[in-house]
Amino acid sequence: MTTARELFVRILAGAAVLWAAASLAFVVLQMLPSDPVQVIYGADSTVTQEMRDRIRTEYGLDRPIWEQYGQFVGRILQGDLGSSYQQRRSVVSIITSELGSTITLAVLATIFALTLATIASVTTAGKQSRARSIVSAFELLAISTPAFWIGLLLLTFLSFQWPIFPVMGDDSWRSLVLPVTTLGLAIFGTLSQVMRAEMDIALEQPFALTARTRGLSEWSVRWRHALRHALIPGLTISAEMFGALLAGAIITERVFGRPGLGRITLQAVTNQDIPVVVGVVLFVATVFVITNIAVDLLYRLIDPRLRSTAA
Amino acid sequence: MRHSVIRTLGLALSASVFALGGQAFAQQSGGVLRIATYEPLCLDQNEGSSRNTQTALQDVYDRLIYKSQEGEYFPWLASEWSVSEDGLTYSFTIRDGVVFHDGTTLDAEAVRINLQRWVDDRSANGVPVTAVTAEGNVVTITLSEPHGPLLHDLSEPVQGIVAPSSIEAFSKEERCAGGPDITIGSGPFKVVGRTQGQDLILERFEDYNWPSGAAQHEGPAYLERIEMRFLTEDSVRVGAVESGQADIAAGVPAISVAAIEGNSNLQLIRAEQPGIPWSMWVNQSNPALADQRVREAIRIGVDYASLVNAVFLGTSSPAYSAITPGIPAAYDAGQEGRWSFDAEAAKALLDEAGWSEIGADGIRVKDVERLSLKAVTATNWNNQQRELFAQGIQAGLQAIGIEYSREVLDFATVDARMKANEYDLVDTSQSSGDGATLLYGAFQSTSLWPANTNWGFVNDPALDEALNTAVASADPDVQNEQVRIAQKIINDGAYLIPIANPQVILGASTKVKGTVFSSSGQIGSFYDVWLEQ
Repeated sequence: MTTARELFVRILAGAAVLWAAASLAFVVLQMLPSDPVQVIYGADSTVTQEMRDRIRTEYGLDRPIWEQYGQFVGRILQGDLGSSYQQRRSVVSIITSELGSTITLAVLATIFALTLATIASVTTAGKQSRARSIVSAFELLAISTPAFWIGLLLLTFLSFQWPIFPVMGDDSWRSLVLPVTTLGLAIFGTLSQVMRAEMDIALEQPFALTARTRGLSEWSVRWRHALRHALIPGLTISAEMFGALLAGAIITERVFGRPGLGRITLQAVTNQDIPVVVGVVLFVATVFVITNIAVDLLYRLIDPRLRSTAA
Repeated sequence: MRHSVIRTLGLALSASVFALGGQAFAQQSGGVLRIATYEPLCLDQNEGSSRNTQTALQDVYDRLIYKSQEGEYFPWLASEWSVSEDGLTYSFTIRDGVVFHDGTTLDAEAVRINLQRWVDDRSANGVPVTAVTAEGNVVTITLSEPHGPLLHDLSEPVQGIVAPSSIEAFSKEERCAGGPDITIGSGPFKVVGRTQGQDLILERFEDYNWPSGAAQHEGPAYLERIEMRFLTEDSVRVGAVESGQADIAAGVPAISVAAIEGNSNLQLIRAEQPGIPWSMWVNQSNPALADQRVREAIRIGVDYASLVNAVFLGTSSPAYSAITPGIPAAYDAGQEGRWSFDAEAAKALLDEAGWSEIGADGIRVKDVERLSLKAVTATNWNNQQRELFAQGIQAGLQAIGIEYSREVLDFATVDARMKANEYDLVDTSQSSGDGATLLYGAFQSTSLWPANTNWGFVNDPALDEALNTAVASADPDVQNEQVRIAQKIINDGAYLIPIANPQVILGASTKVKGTVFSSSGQIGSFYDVWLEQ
């Protein structure tokens, strides 16, 4: 199959995934026992019948279900995700205004984790050493400690005890250090373990032996040959995690009081602000679809074997 | 202007600090007040509001009148007001010389536009308004039937007057997101910075010279700038104020109170929260709970007072009435100590009510039905301490033979349960400075969910009469008198099981001076607040 054709198929499949996600979200939404009008007015307010009727008309909730579904899909196709029950703003504007902050956080955290994992795996793969045990233990610790706890520990020591990275009144790079570290550490452990396992295998392969016999130093073998093998699963995991990070930065954003998609998602879920929940679901699904396609293309750059069209 | 009597707990606290320091009232101007708090939902309160919105914006928008924590009304944008004999016409004279932050004039027409918006978009929250008119410098509100709490409603922070220039120029969406040049009021502080999810920055409005009659000084505010940083996590807000990164932290949890008290750089600013205490509404449409003896058994069968002290660590007091001491003018202190924990008496009451047979699991049975109660509450009405407390209730009720289970659900699910009448108990507190509206909503027989919060299906003609009279009267004294009568009737019939009076607790640097609470149970304004340099 040619790359162009494969790409076309992947995009079609992606569109199907998005349509399924949207429809599923709509069905779930209909199954909820809650009354959107009460959600719109919030937990503490009581609402007159007149206000109820007006809201129902305003949000089209008084129409038959199939008609609501038709409008729902129609609006999505036009890029309109409706408007938030709680914030009275359009979902698109909510997502776009929060996106920048989350992307910054997710990109930096992914780079941080990928860098740390690369260093850890390149230096400790293929041999039993004290360093390897220590790094492994650290990875396990990073995997098993909740991000919430890591965030609070970092804050307690590096902000409250020693005011190096303030949590208030500073919007410079300093305000990013602790959240990026918190989020990065959460994915570093898994990433590093997978990459090292892959390098362990690669270093046993005949090509590694050949390279060594050609007189390449151990470092060159690791950096130039084995790392490529480790980068494939590394990238796959990073890409998946990046998608998850967009919506999953919830805890980090909450602890550090940062704007972002995670915070918006949490707020929307607890308040049953359905249009926002659906919007975020669709957005994250889109990101997953796009990153998956992009990663497939990246594989071809990293692994020449995949470039041949015959396969 | 009235300079005078120390009116509130907040001021009393700072006054004692002065006395200790041997200082006179020498307010200093200038400085930046940094507040770690929660985020407002929407910067145009007519579109969406929460208590958090109110605190953040009460100094951006001025209101017609101000209501102190004691329930006294003061002139503000309205220099005077009058109510007609029949209670149907309210006239407000708008003060001269008031301008919005953008320089446009705040006149009677601007006020009318705001009130009309409230009527059109929010059905005036159920107030029977038939017309709002402006003539000269007088705004008149006409009602179809008397509604006493109207003055209170107008004094609430949500009734801040927004500049018509902003209403015309921007969409609802833009005003909700807000920001400099969009969020425009006439208050002592104007919005100069806004990052959603992060912060709101206010700066002193230098032309300001129209504070409410309750304010302690004239002219512009003391503080130069207020920086609000939104931190959702309790421990992070407390950490911020402990490490000196914030001057005030809102919502201090019980567990941090001792640490702040023990820190010589910090002070606790606290006030009784006005409203209905954290209580259990008892669903009388359940035949078991329709029996007053069973309700009384629940009221005396658990040692609520000891649990309050053990769980809330001095941040709440045991409650004995349907109104908290946070509404001093309407609170009936005579209800305090009307009952006390007595498990034996509770068991006797249950026996008498026919629940004398005890099953193998220790739960009472009557005609094969077990005495099992399902409590519901919403996530945003709950917190860790209430969660813990509920375990105490469960143990206490189990000991007298009642099974109790409590579900904490998202609000929308709670709402659905309530509409389907699938609950026996609802536990929550309600926050408002107006006793008449609160009790009318929670106990008047026609005030059923979802239009109101009579979750107990209470139907008592004597109580209805007191509440109807309270709501119909424009005289605050009559309202308060009727609200006190209602509190007694509610306890006589055990219609509500009050548990704890919550307090509003802020942690602050000792440099923060001059805080005063308003009737809404929040710091009334940062206009009189100043920082010791």
